[in-house]
This record gives sequence, C-alpha cells and structure tokens, in this order.
Amino acid sequence: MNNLLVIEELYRFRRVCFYTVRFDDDTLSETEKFITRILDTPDLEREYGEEMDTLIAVLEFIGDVRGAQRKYFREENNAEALPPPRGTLEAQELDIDNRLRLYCVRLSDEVVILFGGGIKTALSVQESSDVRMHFHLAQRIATALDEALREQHLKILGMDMFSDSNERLLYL
Amino acid sequence: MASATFERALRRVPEETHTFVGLSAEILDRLHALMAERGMNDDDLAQQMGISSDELAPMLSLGHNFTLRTIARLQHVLGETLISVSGTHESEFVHH
Repeated sequence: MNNLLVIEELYRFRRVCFYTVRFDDDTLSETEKFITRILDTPDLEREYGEEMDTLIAVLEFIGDVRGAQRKYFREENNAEALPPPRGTLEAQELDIDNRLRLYCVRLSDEVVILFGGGIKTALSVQESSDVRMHFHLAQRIATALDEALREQHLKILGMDMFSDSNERLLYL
Repeated sequence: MASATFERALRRVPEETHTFVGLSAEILDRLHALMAERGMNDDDLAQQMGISSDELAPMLSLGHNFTLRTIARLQHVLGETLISVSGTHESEFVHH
C-alpha cells in the first residue's frame, strides 16, 4: 500500500476550510470515497442517503454558520486504543446523531481535515467492521499530521495550510 | 479547488435538512445554556431524566431528532421552556 498522502482542499466555506487526504496513487480522496460509496451504491443510498444528507448539512452548518467549534467534534469511543502521547493529535469524528461516522482532525476553528468513514453497526469501533479500518487509518494519519505540524513541514494560517514543499504531503 | 464529489453531495441536500440541522443546533444551545445555569453536567442530566449517559449522548449531538416526548421530559427536568410554538405563550408548556 502506498504510504504517501496528499492533503487537498475539499471545500472552503465562509468560516471553515475542510481539507481531505488522498493517497498519491488514488483518484479520489478518502472523504470522496466515503461519500461516493454511500451515494452511488443503490442499496446504501436507500438505507443511508438521508443520513449522508444530514452529515453534509452539518458540515455546511459548521462551515458557513458556526465555525469548527470544539463541541462539534468528539474522540471515537475506542476502548482498546491506548491514550495518545501527550500533545499528540487524535482522530476525531463529527459529533452527530447518525449511523455514519466521518473521521477527522480539527486543527482550529477554521481548519478541519476530513478522512474516510463508514457505517457504525456496533457501540465500539472494534465490533464495527465497516468503520474499523477507517478509524485505524485516521489514527495513523492524525499521528503523521501531528509530526508534520510540530516539525513545521505544514503550517496553518487562518483557513490556509502551507507546506515547506510544493505539495502538502504526509508520509505514513 | 472545491471537490466535485462534495459539491454534488451538497447540491442534493434537501432544504428541510438544512432547517433540521439548524433547529437541532438551536435546541442544543438552549439545552446547554440551561444546564450551565443549573451547574449540571451530562451525567447529572442523565440521572435526572432516569436514563444512562449512553442514552443521553445522542441527544447532545447535532442532528438529533428530538421527539416531543423527549422535549417535554427535558422541560420538566430543567423547569424551563426549551422550545416555544409560534402564536402561543411559552408558559403554557411548562408545568411546574
């Protein structure tokens, strides 16, 4: 598996810029894969299309109206995960009442990086086969992101994210 | 540049879903404000409602579809109006 990720802008609202991550050799970002899987698979669209609409509406509400306030995000309920080292970013998810889980990292009130997601079918991540892989990937990306920010390969200014190279890259 | 996939997902969101998310956020704001006034945390509220913290958690998340029964229960526990209906006096809905 390729371990090079590109950080791309997903959508820029008035108050928040949502970024996403794409594996270097993929066409779609992790967030786009999640969205298209639900909306373009007829059975999943029938079952979860309305919840995807709510999730997207929440992103717009946060992005255009409220900003990415801390209260709209939560750490995943993952009893088996070790607590991260102090100061390390942790994968989060949007705090919404929904069977869909979209993993992310909130970096400020103006910058959120969205990862992939899936359908949560049980209380814990470990029991939800559809989200488990996405959660673990999100944790790895969050750790890589933390390192890139600490070493200043990536910098944030307002809604913008800058890199010390031509592209915003992350190595897993 | 904006993602075409995300733009497509945004375009298909019904207007009523945007209204639903906005209403749920306003109810949550009111709920959190009343809890703060009373010095209550999530566990206190769950206990007073006679439910577990796990059962309360979805109600404190964006996009929760509050039932009238749940709102009535919250109003009873908090002793204040959470929502009011246009054209009526809010005091009609809180039974002290």
